[in-house]
Amino acid sequence: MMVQMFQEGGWWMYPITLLGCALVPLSIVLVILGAASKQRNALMMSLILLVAGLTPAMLGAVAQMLSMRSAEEAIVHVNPADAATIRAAAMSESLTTVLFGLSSSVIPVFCGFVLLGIGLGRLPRFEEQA
Amino acid sequence: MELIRNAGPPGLLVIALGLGGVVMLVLTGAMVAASRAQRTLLFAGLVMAFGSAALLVGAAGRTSGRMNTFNAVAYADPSQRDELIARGFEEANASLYLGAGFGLPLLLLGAATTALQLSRGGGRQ
Repeated sequence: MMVQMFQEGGWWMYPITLLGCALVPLSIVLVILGAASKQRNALMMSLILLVAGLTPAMLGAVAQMLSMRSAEEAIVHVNPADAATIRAAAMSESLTTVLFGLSSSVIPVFCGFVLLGIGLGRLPRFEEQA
Repeated sequence: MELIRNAGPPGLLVIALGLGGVVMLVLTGAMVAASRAQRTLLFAGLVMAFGSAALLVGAAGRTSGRMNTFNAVAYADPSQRDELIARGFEEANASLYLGAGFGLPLLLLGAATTALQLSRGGGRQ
């Protein structure tokens, strides 16, 4: 299943996987560090996590668009009778990167919002009075 | 019910995340009622976290459904393609509808609670 996804997604799968593999442990570490640090650092870490967390999804979308562009370029040179079949197969394969990117974004974005809540709750005016 | 059946496994995950978000929303409400500013902001963050996760899983479910549709269409009889695409898209969109149905209100409510709490500017009122 995984091998098939990598074959379908092409080389774009490697940066997305690498980013996803780096972001999941980083998210957990940043949440722990953020919970233990001052509000300013926690807010900064949450923003980093939210932006970095959405990167795999964006990368997946860019990869899908570029893959479809290549497929459309190739379709020009094939028999028109086969064009619809090739386009459908290409669309299916190119969506692999989007799926992978979205899946990689879930944990970092989740952790980013948790850290945002922690960071905002640590603003001095709330901490003093709570 | 048909929406849940069409959405498949991602739909169940979206529902689980959505219900988690609703629980966090109830806890946020309890913290607002108790005038606990710090905890209100923490739970509002959790509400937004569950909402965003539900939305992303819903979008991933739709992408997965579309992949299956195109895969099936590529090897199907050309005369049935349009019908297959229409039905496949309808089923794939069910996952996104569920994700957006749970995720967007949770995100909006979480953001609104955070904004209100920040504008109030204090803990115990």
